Amino acid sequence: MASYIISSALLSPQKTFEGTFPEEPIITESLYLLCAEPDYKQIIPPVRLRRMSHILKMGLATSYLCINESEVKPDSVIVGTGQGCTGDLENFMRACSEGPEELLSPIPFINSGHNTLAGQIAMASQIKGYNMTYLQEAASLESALSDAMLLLEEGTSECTLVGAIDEFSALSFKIFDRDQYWRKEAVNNLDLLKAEKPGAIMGEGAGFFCISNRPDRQNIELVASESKMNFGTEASVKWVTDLLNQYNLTTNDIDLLFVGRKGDQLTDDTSYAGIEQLFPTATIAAYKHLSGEYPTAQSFALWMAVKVLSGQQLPAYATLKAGTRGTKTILLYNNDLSTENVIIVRKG
Amino acid sequence: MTQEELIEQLKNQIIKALSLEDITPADIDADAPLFGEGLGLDSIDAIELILLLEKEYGIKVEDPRQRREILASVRTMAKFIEDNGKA
Repeated sequence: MASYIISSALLSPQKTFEGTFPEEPIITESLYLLCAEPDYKQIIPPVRLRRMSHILKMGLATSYLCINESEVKPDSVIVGTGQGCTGDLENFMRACSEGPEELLSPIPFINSGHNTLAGQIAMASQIKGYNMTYLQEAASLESALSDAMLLLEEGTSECTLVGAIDEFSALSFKIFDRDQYWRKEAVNNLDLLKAEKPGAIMGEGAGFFCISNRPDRQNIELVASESKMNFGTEASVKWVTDLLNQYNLTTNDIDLLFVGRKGDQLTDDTSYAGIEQLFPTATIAAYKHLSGEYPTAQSFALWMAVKVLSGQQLPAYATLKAGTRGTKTILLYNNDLSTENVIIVRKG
Repeated sequence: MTQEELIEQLKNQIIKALSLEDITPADIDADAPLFGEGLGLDSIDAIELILLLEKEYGIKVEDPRQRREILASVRTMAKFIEDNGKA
C-alpha cells in the first residue's frame, strides 16, 4: 500500500510558515540561524503557552498548521528529534548543579523528556492513537517516516502526523564545536556554500507532515525513507543505486536531487560529489544555507520537495544546478558523519 | 514591610515564578482564590508556589495538609509569611 503526503508545514529560519517559498531568503551573518517565529499567542492557548519551552512552542504551532491543512485528521503521532528538548534539559541540569535538589522547579523536568512534544501534540489535538518518538540523531526523521509507512501499510493508521524537530541551544553548539563541527567565523548564509572553509552553521526547525494511505488532490507519494551508515563514496553510491533498484527506479527517473551540502570544505565533496554525479541530468538543490545544520534538517528539504510537487517553482536561491526537465520524482540525500539518509517522493 | 507591601512583592514573584506573561500585579485580586477560579492555577503551580515560599522566604511547609489553606489567596500566603516572622 502506498503512502501519501497530504499536508506539510515548516517553521524554519526562513519565512516558510506561510506555506510558500519566500521570494527572498532571510540573510544572516552568523554562526547559527534561528527560526523566524510566529506570534505563538495567536496559535497556542495562553494557558498552555506559559509552561512551554522554545522547542515545544515551535513543534505545537507547526503541528497545528499541518493538521489544519490536512483533509484527514491524523490518528497517530510520530516525532523524530536528533537532540530532543535540550533547552529544558540544560535548565534542569543547571538547576541541579547550582541549587539544592529539593528546590527544583518541576516544569523544566517535565519538559525535558524527549517524547514531551509528541505527548503535548496528542493532548492538544486529541490524537489518541499510536504515539512514538524517535531519537536517532541524523536518522530521526527518516525513522519516523519509515515507521509511519509501516503503520499505514499494516492498517493500524489511516493518517499519521510525522514531525521532525530540533532547536538551537548554546550548550549543544559548544559540545559540537569541540568536534570542529561549526565555522569559526560568522558567515553570510547565502555565501555559505561558496566559502571554502571548514565547518557548518547551526540551525533549527520544525517540519510536520500528514501521511495518509489515501492520496489527496496533490497526489504526492512518499516512496521511500531509508537510513544507513556507510563509509566512503563508493559504498554510498552503491547503496543509493541499490535503493533505486529496490524501488524499481533508475537514476534517470530522478528529476530533482536535494543534497545536504552544508558549506563544510572538509566533508561536502566527499559526502556529496559522488551522489551528484549519479544524476547528471537532474536539477540539484541545496538547503542548509537556508536552514542551518541540525539532525533533522532534511525535513526542510522534504517540505521544499512537497511544495515543488505541488506546483511551486524551486527558487533560484536553492538551486545549485538547473536541470532540463519538469519534476515528477525527487530524491533527498543527506550525509551526516557517515549516517546517510534517502527520502524519495514523487507525483502520483 | 507592611502586609500590603508584602502582597505587592508576592504578586510580582508569583507572576515571575509561574510565567504569567500577560498578567500584571494589578490584575491579581489579593483575596481571590488562586486555584480553580481567580488565576485558575493547578497542582503544578502549587508546587512552584511552595518552592517560592522556601526559596524567597526560607519557609518550608512541612505539613501537606496546610498547603490548601496557605495557598488559598495571595493574602493568605502573605499572612503565612508574616506568621513565620519572615516579612
